[in-house]
Amino acid sequence: MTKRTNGSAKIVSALIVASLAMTGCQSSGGPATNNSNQGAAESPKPSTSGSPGTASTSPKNPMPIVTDGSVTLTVAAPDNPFAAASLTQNLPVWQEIEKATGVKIKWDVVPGSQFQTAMQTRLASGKNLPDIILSNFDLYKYSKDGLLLQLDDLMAKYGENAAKIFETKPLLPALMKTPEGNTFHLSGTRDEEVAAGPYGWLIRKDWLDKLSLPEPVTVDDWYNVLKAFKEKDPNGNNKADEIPMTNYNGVTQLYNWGNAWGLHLRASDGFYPDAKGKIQYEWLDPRAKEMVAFLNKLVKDGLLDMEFAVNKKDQMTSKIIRSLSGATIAWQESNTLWTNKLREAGQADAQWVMTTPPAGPNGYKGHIEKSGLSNGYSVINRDSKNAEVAFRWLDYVIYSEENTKRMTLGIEGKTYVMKDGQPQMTDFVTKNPDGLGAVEVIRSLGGWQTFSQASRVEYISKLKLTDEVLTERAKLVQSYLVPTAEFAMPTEDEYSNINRKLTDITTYKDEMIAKFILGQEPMDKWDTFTKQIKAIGIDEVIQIRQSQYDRLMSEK
Amino acid sequence: MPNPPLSPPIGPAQTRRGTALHTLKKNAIRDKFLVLMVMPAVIYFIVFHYLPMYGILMAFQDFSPSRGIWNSPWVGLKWFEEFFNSIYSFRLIKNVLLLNFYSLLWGFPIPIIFALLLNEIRRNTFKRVVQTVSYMPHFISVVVIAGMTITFLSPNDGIVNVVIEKLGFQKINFLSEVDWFRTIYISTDIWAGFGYSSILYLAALAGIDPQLYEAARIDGASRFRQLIHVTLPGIAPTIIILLLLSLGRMMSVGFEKIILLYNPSTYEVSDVISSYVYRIGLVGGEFSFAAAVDFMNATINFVLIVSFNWLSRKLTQTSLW
Repeated sequence: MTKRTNGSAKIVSALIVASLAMTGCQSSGGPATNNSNQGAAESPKPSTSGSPGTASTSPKNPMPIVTDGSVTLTVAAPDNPFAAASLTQNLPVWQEIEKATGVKIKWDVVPGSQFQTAMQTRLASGKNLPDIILSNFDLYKYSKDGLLLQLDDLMAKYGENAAKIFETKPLLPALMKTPEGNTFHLSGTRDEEVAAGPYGWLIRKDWLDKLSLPEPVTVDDWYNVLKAFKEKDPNGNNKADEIPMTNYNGVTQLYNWGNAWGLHLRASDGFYPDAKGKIQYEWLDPRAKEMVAFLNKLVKDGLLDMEFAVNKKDQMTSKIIRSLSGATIAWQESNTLWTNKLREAGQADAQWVMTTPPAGPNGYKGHIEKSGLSNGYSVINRDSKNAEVAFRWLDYVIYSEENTKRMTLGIEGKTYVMKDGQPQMTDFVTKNPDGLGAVEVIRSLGGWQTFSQASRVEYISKLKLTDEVLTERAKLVQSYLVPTAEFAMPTEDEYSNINRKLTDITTYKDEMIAKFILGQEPMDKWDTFTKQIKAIGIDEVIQIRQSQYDRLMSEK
Repeated sequence: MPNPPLSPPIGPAQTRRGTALHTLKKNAIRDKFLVLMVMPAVIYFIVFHYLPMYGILMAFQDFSPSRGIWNSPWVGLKWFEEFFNSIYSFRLIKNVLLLNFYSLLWGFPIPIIFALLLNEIRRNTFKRVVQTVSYMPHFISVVVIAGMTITFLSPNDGIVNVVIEKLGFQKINFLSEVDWFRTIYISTDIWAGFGYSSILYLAALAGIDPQLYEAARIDGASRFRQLIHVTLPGIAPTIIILLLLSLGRMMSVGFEKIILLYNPSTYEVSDVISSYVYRIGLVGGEFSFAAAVDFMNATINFVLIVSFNWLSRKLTQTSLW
């Protein structure tokens, strides 16, 4: 939309340039440049290699991995969130994967909510571990404990699909490295998922139309629109019961409003590199004060839900489908559910849409922070008898285009068909006989799991953008997406220093910001607030973040 | 030789060790079936409560599961220091103690009063219905109770605020205001727990000898006099024991309910040790830090229970041991 350059845009372009530079070194040497066991990468290709004639140094991982079905891998994972279909039931997507890889899978699953506790306990005992753990929590400390296999050599030898992904996402392999420069886990990516179904400002278009208001662009527009929502009875029940804007996840979700001032307070937690690559704690920036003052004004004038600090998703949804609230910040796909529920309840015109993120009063166009780049931690047990097969299996499952497509779109012929070279979802997905949502349908077949996947925007958008409004709106906000700040894994010292300090800072910050917004603390105490944050020791935390950031930048 | 149903424990009076051991052996053989019956409980406590105590060592180590408790490096009081290095450590301890103190102050007498009232009811069916209804909430999960609390107290359309507004007062943003947190936390606790807690008192009441009431009546005591002079002394030991047990839990607090009801605007009174440790990211499996904090809590609890037990023995002759 706008062509204005600004701080974040520079960072974005810097990242792109850096990624191009990275591409070169990826394809030549493989990621294990600082690993002493580099020699393994030069060893001869395995006999199964399908194309021995090509360049000899690039990793190869042809399928199937084994032909005689002699290998069974034990795979631990949080079970399918669509509980009706457990992974242990040999679901169709995984049958296909077994067919493609030739490797049999023996699942060792735990329900998602208990996975971490159960797995930590088993890792603590260090016995009877599976070949592969597809984890949704960080396993770094277990690599220190010597339970996990170091993957650098295997990566150089077999990581064909991974290398392809790393070419486009050079930060990813750097994020997977320990401070010593070794790799113990494989991560998928999430950034493209955000691009496909963005997280941002949602509003009731029909309310705007009813009150003849244009879609809000700046924060001042937002103020006026919300004021109109409050005063002009858009839900038409002749009662002033509107809660113009609601939220969920408590006060921290409101930090997204910092995006209008060019801040990165939510996904990046306020730690963001400036144009010179110096990490700033943006809560100390005077713009943060402007943002908090704005939110305070919203609350004072009754435009923002008084319960903002308490609201969870249920409370938000209830206010929205009872037609009390007309604006919120959430994932775009929520629009479909809300619009449908409202229409079912008799409001034929109801229409939730995503708007562009609000622009700031100081001329900044606004942005949407993506989620962090890496997602999931897949590791191989050091004592696994089939370590090579396990790695090749992971490389295929997480990174290969073929499997990413399968995990996102399901089974060809059942959930999608190819038309003019483009996948198209079938009625089984879009008008599911059991009334499941698109993601649930795919999950019922075993796809779309919460652990690692290097998901691709072209497939996810097929699943998430199920109507024109969603598609059009997702396109509208593309130019507003900015990456979150990424940091290399902390060393043990850095970790323990940062962990306690940051908990105190975050506790103090959240408490004070909530009180500022509620008006329980006057805004002129802002200086006391920033002083106290410095007194707790923000400088030390910034320093650690800086060295993590620098390490990551030098890694890639 | 008469066979007492239970051999008395070896009291401090027995000073001659040889004889004591001898008597113990003799008694054990004589009461072998009783010993056999108590064995499962003893084994349970040894295996699940005493043996795991070596795990406390973890609090003084940089524990790593793969190195195990015998090989993990010792770090002295590092974890305790880390806890007390936080600017919030005293606020956290204060919040736990105050929350428990007020809970005890308001929550402890209510089941007693309730049991006494119930005891005065003549109609048995009515009594049973009331009793059952009153302890139902005990079985409602904390998550549901918290959800109900949030819904009822909502400043937008919660029933409590609707009533407040109808009566012409300003709506109250209950869960975002520091002054209200303890009241809400404790009153919902009492609501959910008083019926269930009264069961023990009712059992104690049933154990009072009816002859005592008869005698009192003959002496011309009114219902109220009977309550003061027969009922209350009858359940006094139970009251004291339960009070002592509660005092031994002064440093423990229902973590789930805090997490469900608190938010940053009420941290000042609602943030407790367990919720803080949770936010630090104990989820990351920091066994040593968790053990240290737990050890600290247990120590304070232990000191409290021992000193109050001593005080109670001096003052009322009733004590846990």
